[in-house]
Amino acid sequence: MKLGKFLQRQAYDKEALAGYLFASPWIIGFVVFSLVPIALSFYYSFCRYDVLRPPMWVGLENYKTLFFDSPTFYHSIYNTLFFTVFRVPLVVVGSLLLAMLVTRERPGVRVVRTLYYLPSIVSGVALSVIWMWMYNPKYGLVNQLLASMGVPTPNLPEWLGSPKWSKTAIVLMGLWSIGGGRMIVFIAGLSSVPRHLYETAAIDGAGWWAQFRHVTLPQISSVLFLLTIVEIIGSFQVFTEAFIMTRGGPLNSTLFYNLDLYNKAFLDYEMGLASAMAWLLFAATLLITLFLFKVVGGRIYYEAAKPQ
Amino acid sequence: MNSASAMRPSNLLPGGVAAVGALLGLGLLVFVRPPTAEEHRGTALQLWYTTGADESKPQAPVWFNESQDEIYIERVGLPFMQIEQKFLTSVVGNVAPDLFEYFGSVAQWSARGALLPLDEFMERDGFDRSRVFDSLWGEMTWEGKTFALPTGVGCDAFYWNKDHFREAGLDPEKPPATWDKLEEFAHKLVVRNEEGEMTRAGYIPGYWSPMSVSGYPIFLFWPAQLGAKFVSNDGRKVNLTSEACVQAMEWEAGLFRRLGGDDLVRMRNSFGYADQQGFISGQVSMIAQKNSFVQELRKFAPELDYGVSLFPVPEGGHPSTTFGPVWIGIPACAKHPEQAWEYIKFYTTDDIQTRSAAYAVDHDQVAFFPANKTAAQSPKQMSVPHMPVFIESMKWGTPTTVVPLAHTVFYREYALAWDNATLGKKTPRQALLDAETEIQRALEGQLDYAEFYRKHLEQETAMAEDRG
Repeated sequence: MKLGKFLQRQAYDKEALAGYLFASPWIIGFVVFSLVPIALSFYYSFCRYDVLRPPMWVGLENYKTLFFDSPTFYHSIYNTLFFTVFRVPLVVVGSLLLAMLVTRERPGVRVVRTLYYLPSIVSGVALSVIWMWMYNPKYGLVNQLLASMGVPTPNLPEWLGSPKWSKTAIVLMGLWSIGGGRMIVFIAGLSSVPRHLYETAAIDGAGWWAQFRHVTLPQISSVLFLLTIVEIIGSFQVFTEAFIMTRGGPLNSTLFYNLDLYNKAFLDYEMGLASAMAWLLFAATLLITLFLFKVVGGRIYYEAAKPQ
Repeated sequence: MNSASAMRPSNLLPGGVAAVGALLGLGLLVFVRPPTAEEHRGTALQLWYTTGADESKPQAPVWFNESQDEIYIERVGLPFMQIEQKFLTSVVGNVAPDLFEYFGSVAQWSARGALLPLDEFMERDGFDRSRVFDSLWGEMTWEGKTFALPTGVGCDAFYWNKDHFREAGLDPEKPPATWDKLEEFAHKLVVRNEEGEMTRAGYIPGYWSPMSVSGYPIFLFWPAQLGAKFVSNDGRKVNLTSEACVQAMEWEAGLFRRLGGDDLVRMRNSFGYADQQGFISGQVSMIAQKNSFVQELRKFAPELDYGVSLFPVPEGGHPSTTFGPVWIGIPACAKHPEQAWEYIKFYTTDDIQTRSAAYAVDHDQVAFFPANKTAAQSPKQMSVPHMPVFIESMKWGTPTTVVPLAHTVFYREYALAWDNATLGKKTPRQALLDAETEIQRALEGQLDYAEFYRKHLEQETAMAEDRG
């Protein structure tokens, strides 16, 4: 009996070993290229460090500088929050509406889905360059369109060149991506809503709005919640658009948190300050996600968790 | 064999080991350097340089390789956007090239111990510093030591469109000589369409090229013309609130508003690169640009009739320009510093510099401006359009690196102050004061760090001596 158990144990260990061996390239990569750097960045956040010279311990000075002395810290937080507050609803609601249009199987709907998906294939850099031209105040498509609608030339927005419009311009670029992965996830969510619920609701006299409000929305709440959280986290990390199009200007109006962090790390070589910023961003993201789970999480409908 | 037995651990283990081995083997391949296509003898050295839009390669290494068999220089071109970070990581990883040719601030590297001081080599081999434009040496030194040798220059000058001058009834051969004349000409050169929209600007303060919508390069030569120093002699106190600095920015901000303000913003934001650049596309009549602009004009607007001069000067001021050197240095961790110096010696001779200049001109690369005086004034180089003006401007040069330890912060903050002042968000004095405070804060942090590093090096030396 004991021998049997021993052999069983041996086989189990061997299997575990094999499993770890298969996973080892990832484990090694994760430890060397992610875990150790993450741990080191926490240490560096208490140091002055420029990569070339050894780190100099400064205690909480980096955090103090950010909270009390940095003129761009709160400004970049404001810019990022502005972006998040407008971008997340735009993209989530936009993707949901688009998904609702193309979920039901009709002739040619797959072609339409593909067409809507296409723009999201374009890389962020190429996209930014295209939008720079779209927003060109004199020759851009956006202002040409506005002019054709009768907006007088002096009133046409300067878009990326104006501190008043630059953030809005970058938020609106989100419209480009509503047909991408988010739309696909919503299509999956919408397709999984049982048909009989709509039929029952229709028999009870529910119109399209009541059906949407009382059937669709609760049924896809888990998808909606997931996408909102992912979108919030993504919005906190907004970088490419501002990096390519405005470098944070004009007048720091598009200096988002991550761009400020990038400037400090890779232009000024203030790795300590940048590490402190990265850890603060991590803490903020974690807290907001936990908060959302606490406040909204309980109202979310998970099919698997609550069998009918 | 059924599927269950195929999945038994004893069967998985060898497969796992083989898979991991294969992956590691593939990974190792990454570290194996591909063999160089060129056959060579002697010690191989790498020279890292920045590739430009034309992807031309430096020729001096080829001539050097042909001239002897002991040392072989391999040219490695890196894109402008990547070279700095690649060099940084190579230094940290102790795998830096033996030679590094770059531009911009040398002190950014030398202050951090990334470059080898060259004074001993220079003294030993009697290097003649007077062969290079004098004004370039300041940027090469840090705490009394020389860390790089200048090989080229990028300097700024004033360009004007002669056809526009003719249209506006101005003498096409006479650029504005003073600030007042610049404003007067700029007003005369403006063209508007029937709706009153500006279609051509005479001059747009701060406009140069769309590095980004607001990443305007800053024109330090205006305050320098009034004698601004920007930083104290010991380099520890930033001074952007001197009368010269404030006066120059007040003038620029006022000029910006008087010449059209919003109209200028709209025009500036509509310009692009290359043939969509404001001056090249004929939408701006006067502009401050680098000497390399002649190359762009030749490429994108070969028919454009233009002149180049020193900048207009304020009353009581003196001429000034800003310049940035191209330089070559040896990384501190280079494996073959002696051989690297041999190449630098070869490369910086009058003969090779002149040959390099001639090669560039023959290959239509007129953007090159040699740091070597003989090469700069050689007949071939003088055939580059407006070369005498660029040479003349070297007498009045202000280096683009003002606060080496906080170089990027200086540029970002000054540009922000400029935006704030010209867009009327802050008074020029307040904008400059805010910038000064921020740059000073960054500088003080760096001075502390430099002091820490100095002590760290002293400790290391002492410990090495103890062990020795």
